[in-house]
Amino acid sequence: MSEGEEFDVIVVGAGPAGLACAYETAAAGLQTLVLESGDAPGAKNLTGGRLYLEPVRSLCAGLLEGAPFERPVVSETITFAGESESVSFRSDFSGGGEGLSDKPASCAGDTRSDDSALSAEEQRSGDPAPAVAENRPGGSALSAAEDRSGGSVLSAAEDRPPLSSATVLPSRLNAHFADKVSEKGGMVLYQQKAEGLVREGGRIAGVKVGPEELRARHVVAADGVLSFLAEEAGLRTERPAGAYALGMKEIIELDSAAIEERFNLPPGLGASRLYAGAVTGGLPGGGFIYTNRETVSVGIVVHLGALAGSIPAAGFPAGASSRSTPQPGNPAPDSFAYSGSSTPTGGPIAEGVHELLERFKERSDTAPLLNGGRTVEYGAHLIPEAGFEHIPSTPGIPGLLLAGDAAGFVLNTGVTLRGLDFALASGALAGKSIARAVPAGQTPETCLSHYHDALKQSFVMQQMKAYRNAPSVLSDPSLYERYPEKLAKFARDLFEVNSEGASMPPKSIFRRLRKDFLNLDGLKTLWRIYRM
Amino acid sequence: MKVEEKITLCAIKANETSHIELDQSSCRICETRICVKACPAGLYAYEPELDEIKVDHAGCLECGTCLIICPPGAVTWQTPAPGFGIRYRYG
Repeated sequence: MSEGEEFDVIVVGAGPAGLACAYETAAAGLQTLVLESGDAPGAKNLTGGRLYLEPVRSLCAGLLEGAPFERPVVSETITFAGESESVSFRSDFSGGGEGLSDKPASCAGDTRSDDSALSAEEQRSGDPAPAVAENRPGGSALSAAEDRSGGSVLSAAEDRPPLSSATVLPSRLNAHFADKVSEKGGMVLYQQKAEGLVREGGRIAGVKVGPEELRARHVVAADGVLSFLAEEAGLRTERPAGAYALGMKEIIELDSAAIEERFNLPPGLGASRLYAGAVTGGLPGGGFIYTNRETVSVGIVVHLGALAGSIPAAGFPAGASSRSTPQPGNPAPDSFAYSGSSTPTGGPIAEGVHELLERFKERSDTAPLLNGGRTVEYGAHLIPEAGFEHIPSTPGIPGLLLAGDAAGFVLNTGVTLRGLDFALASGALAGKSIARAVPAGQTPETCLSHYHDALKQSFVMQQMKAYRNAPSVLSDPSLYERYPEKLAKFARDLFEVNSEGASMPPKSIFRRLRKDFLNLDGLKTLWRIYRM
Repeated sequence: MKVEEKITLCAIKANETSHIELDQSSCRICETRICVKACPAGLYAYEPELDEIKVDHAGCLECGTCLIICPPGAVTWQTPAPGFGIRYRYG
C-alpha cells in the first residue's frame, strides 16, 4: 500500500454489504481493497440471526455458494405476551419435499463444527463421501443445502423448493464471504481503520488510514449503522433516537438434540420465535429466539426513541415527560402499560435496559426452551429502523457509495426484520455499478446514478418505499403495551373453566372481542396497519 | 445472569485510552442520566460525590446507543483504535 497508488475500489467494512460489493468488483477483475477495523471479517457485526435467501438467491449466487448457514427455518411462531400469559400463532411447514422426519438435513459448508446429522446419513447410506444432494436415495429435505462438497444452497432439486430462509451466525458467514472475495482476487485487510475521506475536485478520491491517504477511483462506505463516513460526507446530518432500535442478544449453547426436541424440529432444521408485548415492558420492539445448529440466539429489540421517552428524570418518579408511561397512582384507565412490572419507580426499566433480556429468558414460556443452556456470548447493536424516510436522498456522493446499514437499508414490517438481505443486495448492486463504470471510464457521478437506479429497480428501494409508513405505524405504543396483553388474557379466559363449571359463553366472547379489540381505538389501529 | 458477568464472556481487547469521551458540563444538566439505564452493557454510572458520569470503556460492546440517545455533544464516541475493542466470535 504505497502512497500514490490508486485502487479501483476501496470498500470500508468487511461485513455482508462490503464483502458483497467487493466480491462483485473483484470478480470483474478490478483492483479491490477491503478495509476492516476489527481483526476478523465482520468482527463488529451483530445480527439477530436470520437471512431471507429468496431476494438474493440469484443476485448473490456466487457469494452464497457453500455458505455456512445454521438451520433452514421451517417453523415460525409469533407470540403475544402478557406478563404471565401469552398466546401464540405458529406456522410449521416442510422445508420442501418428503422424508423430513427420517432424513437428516443440515446446511453445512462450515467444516469447523461437527455435523452429526450429515455423518449419520453417511453411515446409513454406507457412503463415506458426501453425496450430492440430488442423488441421495429418498431425497433430502433441503436439496443441495447440506452439500459439503461445494454444492449450492441456491439451486433446488427438481421436486423440492430450495431453502428460503436460514438462521445464521454472522462471524461464520462473514468469514465465508471474505474467503470468496479473496478467491476472486480481492484484498481484505484487518486492523485498518478508515478515519476519513479524501476529497479531490468535488469528489471522494480515497480514504485516510492513519497518516496515509489511500486513493481509489471509487470508495464504498459499508461501515455499518453508525457510518462515520456517511456523516463526514454530509449524507447523515442528524441521528435522532427515534430512527434506531437497540438489539441485545445472547448466544446460548444447547446440544442439537435438545434444540430439536424443545422446538419440535426435524433434525437439522430450525425455528424462529418472535415475541411482542410484555417482553419489552410494553415498549415498541420485541423478543426473538432463533435456533442455530448447537446454539440458540436469544434477544430483545427495543425502539430507542421510546426507550428514551420511558426513562424519567433522575430522582423523579416516572411519568410526567413520557407519552407512554401512566402517572403513578393515576393510571390511564384502559392502559395495561407496565402493570405488574417489577419496577417500583415506574417505567419499564429499573436498573438498565439489559434487564429486559434477563426477564425475557426467565418467562415461563421461554425458560424451558433455554434450560441448562450456557451463555457463550453477549452483544448489542443498533438497527437503523426508520425506513424510507430516513435514508439519504442519494445513496452516496460522487466517488462514494453507501451500502447496507450505513445507508439505512433495513426493513421492519412488524413480523419480519430484514437487514442481511438488504445489505447483501445493496452491496452487490454497488459493486456491479462500479464494475460497469470502471472499464467504461464512466465518471463517479454516472456510477452513483447507476447505483441509485439499480437500487430503485430492486427490492431494496421498492420494499423500503412500499413500507414507508411502517415505522410510524409500528411505533404506536398500544401495539405493544395494550393489545398483546389483552389478547393473551382473552385467550387464557377462552380456554378456562371456572369454579361454577362455566366456560366463556359465545355471547361473552363476542362482547369481549368488541370491547377489547373492535372498539374505536382498535379499529383505528387496524386501519393504520391496513394502510401500512 | 448479571450484565457484568455477560461482558466477561465477550472477546474484548481493551485499549488503555478510552474511545468514549464525556462532556461533564452536558452531563450535569442532563435530567434523565439516560446513559446509565440505556447502555446495554451497564457501563455508565453516576458518581454523586463528584457529580460526574463515569464510563467503563473497557466493556464496551460498540453499539453506539450512548452516542445516539444522549444529548447532542455529551458523548464523543469513535470506533476503538484498529485491533482493539470487541470481536464478536458468534455475532
